Amino acid sequence: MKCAPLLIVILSLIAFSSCEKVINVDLKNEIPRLVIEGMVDDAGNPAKVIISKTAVFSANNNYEKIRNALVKITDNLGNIFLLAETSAGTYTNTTLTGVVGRTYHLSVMLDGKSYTASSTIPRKAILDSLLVDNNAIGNAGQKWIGVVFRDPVGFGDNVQVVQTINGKGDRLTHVAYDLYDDGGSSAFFITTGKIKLKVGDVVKEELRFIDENVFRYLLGVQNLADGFTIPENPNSNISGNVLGFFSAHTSQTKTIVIP
Amino acid sequence: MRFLFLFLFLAFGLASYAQDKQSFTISGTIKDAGTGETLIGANVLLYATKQASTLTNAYGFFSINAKEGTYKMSVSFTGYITDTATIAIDKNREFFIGLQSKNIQLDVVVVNSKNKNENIAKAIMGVDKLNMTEMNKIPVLLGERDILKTLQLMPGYKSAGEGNSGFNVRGGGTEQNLILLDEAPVYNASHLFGFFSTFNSDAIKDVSVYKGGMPAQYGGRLSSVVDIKMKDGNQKKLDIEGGLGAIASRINVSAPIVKDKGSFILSARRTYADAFLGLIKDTGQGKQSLYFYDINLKANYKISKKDRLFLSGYFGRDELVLGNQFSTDWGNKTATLRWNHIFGNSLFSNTSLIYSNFDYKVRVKFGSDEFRIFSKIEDFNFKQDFDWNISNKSKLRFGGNIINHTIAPGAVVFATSTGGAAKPVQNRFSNESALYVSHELKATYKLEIIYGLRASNLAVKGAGNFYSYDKAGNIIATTSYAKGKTVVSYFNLEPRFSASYKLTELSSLKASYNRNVQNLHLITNATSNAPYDVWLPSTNNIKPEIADQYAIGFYKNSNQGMYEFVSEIYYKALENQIDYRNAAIILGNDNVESELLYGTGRAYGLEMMMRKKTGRLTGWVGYTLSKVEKKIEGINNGDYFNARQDRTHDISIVGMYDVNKRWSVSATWVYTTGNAVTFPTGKYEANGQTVFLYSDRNGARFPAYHRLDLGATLEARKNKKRRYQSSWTFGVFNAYGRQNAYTITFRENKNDPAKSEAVRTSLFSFVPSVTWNFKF
Repeated sequence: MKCAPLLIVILSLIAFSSCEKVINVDLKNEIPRLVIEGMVDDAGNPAKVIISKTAVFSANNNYEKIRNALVKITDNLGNIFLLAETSAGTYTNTTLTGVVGRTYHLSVMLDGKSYTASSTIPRKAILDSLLVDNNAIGNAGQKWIGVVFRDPVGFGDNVQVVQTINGKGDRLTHVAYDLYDDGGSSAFFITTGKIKLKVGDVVKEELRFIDENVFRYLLGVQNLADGFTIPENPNSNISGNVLGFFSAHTSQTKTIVIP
Repeated sequence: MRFLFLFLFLAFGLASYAQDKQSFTISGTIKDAGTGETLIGANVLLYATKQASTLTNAYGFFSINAKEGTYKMSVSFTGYITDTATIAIDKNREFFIGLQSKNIQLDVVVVNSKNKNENIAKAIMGVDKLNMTEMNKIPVLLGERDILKTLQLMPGYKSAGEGNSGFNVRGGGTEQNLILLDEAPVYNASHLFGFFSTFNSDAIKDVSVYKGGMPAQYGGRLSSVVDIKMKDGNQKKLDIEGGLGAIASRINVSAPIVKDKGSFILSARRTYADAFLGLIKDTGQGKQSLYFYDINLKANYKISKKDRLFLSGYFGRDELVLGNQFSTDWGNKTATLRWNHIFGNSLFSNTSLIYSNFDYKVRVKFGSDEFRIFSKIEDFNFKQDFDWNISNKSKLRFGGNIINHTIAPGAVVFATSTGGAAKPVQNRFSNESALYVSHELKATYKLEIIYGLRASNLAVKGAGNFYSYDKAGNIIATTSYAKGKTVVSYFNLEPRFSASYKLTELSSLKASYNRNVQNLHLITNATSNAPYDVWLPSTNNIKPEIADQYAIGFYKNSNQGMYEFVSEIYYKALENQIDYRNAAIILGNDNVESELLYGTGRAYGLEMMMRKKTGRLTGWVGYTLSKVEKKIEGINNGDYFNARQDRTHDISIVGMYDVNKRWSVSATWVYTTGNAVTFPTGKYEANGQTVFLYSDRNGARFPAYHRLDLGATLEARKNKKRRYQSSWTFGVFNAYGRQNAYTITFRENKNDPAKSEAVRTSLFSFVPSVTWNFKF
């Protein structure tokens, strides 16, 4: 698949230099809402669900963790996996390893209410390698990583990349939309936001093939960060009017050191 | 009883005596005596015991009826010396009258009092004319005169934002304005991401703008018509003028082809290649450039006394290159071929063939992958208009047109392919046609009405695949149509009505009702000013947008015509409005229709303007109070929400002062409530980052926007012996440096991701400009 950067990336090139100032804005504070984030992958990482609440804008990010929820994942073959609370608000199961093609069904029971979601692990392509290139479209002299993989023939193979730089997550969202059906090799270049990569930096890229609902959710998150569309909460694939998402995806990881 | 009979007999007798007098037609063309340029909207007045008056049409032509006799004929136009003569009418007569421009006289002359109250009587409402001479004195950003920016200083036309030459008229979206240059629609009237418009004012003769009360000869957009007419060119001698400015230079050459029969005009403008590079992010790699240019061309020739031919064209382009990894360019091309013919003395005909094209290209290189985007909208239009002066009280306009639209909505193509194919995006074809009739009637001395009907049709044509979707946006059916086959047709009737009732000689009450239909939809969910528009015609899924507008207004002029006051209130109901699903993918998506949501809108408001037209100090104060809301199924729980362009208060104050014969100064001050925006109401963590929480769509407000611009013009000493004249224009944009918010974004604090902050970005403050202008 050729990963066409969405319009967003093009628009960010045309940002004008200007005056920036941190200001105080009077914001309405919504009463805290429930956030559920869950994931299952095929690489042996534990299935994990994190349940928390939203905080007000001016607060520090120590979100309230929700304890004592009943969390369960079942697959379409009838297997049931219970997730135990291993730390406050985090529920895991180390025996569940996802399989490509299977549909996983999440169920969270909390305070008498039930929240459910489904996600199917899509097919994947092999992550070939990572390469370092100059990001001439970004700021001068910036480097960025291209994630190289072979695209399956056909459309709809959307991907997400999770980037970790020197052990810390980059706190950005990177998704790409499958526009090409060639089956050839393609490279998805990962932006680094305000972080400037330098010689010796260790960069880990995790390539995930995600289903359509998860792609749209993460694209919604990416749009919020880019600021070129009217802000809206991304469409969660979890029922019950909650925030967050449930993703069953493939996972492959490679690491590179910036030369 | 006998008395009554006698009276009736006398009255009858007199009437029949009056009927015996034959009626003749006086017609002709009014021009500028110095250049031969026709004057649009000049007032021709015929008076003896009664008076009759009319205005010249878009080609300077007028036609007026009078019974046999001797009359005083008076021709006047703003900026020109009124010409009065006594004429004998005993047969049909034609007049070609040249008016002297006041500019060449050193003495100031008082404005003719006969036409200054024409705005009171005319039934047309919601129309504004831009005075080109006045416009040249108004300071704008970087010294580039801009008709669209000047238009936004008048109530009812709101700027869509700094660095955005789009505008919102009575709550309408920026794509709801029909911008015509010599009858050709200009699809993207902005340069440089919205900082400048594509109109070089050196080439423009007349700008008439309708925000309500649109006459039946216009159609295709919901909110306004900006009808821009290019100059025809000097028919008498060679004219060269131009200017060197801070960021661009321009030149305008005009000359006769055959003296008094034909002329041409050529205008060109270009920005300096690196004038804007400081504005964009420096990539430090390879060649960079950011510039635009415009060329306006027009030629006209009078084939016979009754026939005139015109050919006009516009070509403009913007280009941005960042090293060898990114380049983009976009622009408009228009061409119009017109034939005016006068049948007899009262029927004026105009036949036009019009071409219009807007396209953009993007090329991006990622590693060894390169991809390209190409998109265009291209129109071929045949138009026929008749203007029939039935009598002095009754004018009929009728005609029709048919436009063929071809749209390539923006396919993404990979230039280095290793086989396979990119997801295709089909071209879209449609024919938009209309027939109209409009009657302008002076029903009584006090009451004038214009009523008309426009019948419009959009036929969606193959070749192509057409999809049906379920509520979630999944395809449920695909039907294939061959080339030229009609997929679906939308027929609409658009009634237009407006009336003016004179309360006194100096004041009137007006009312209007219009229905407008728009079949070309701008599909974009981006809030920025990039030119990557996707235009789609109505389809089996997208219905025509419809607007019904009701307006009433009160008009008053002061005694000597020095002041003009207008106050209008309007209500507009909008149907079939388009919005987008969350995370909608617009570009490169053949199924973009699955990303659309539909609903209604409503806009209402009050506009007031007080204008001082004469004296050394001229200008106006405008105020608008308004609201515009949308109601879209799937957004904001289906409740009404503020449209992004909703801004409660809008104030503009413009003043121009002639200090002496050489110096004039001007100032503009604008104040607006901020746009309706969506701000966070909380935050949470997802996908390893802070995600902000939102609730009501557009439930918050940007801070208020205000700024002061100052300008001054210095004319070089006029030497009557030399033809050469020059002047300097100075300006300061945002003279008190208010940091107006261009964007407000929310992000994690760079040093402490646990904290969140709001960042305001402002663009221009204290921007000075100097332009040197010359004229031969």
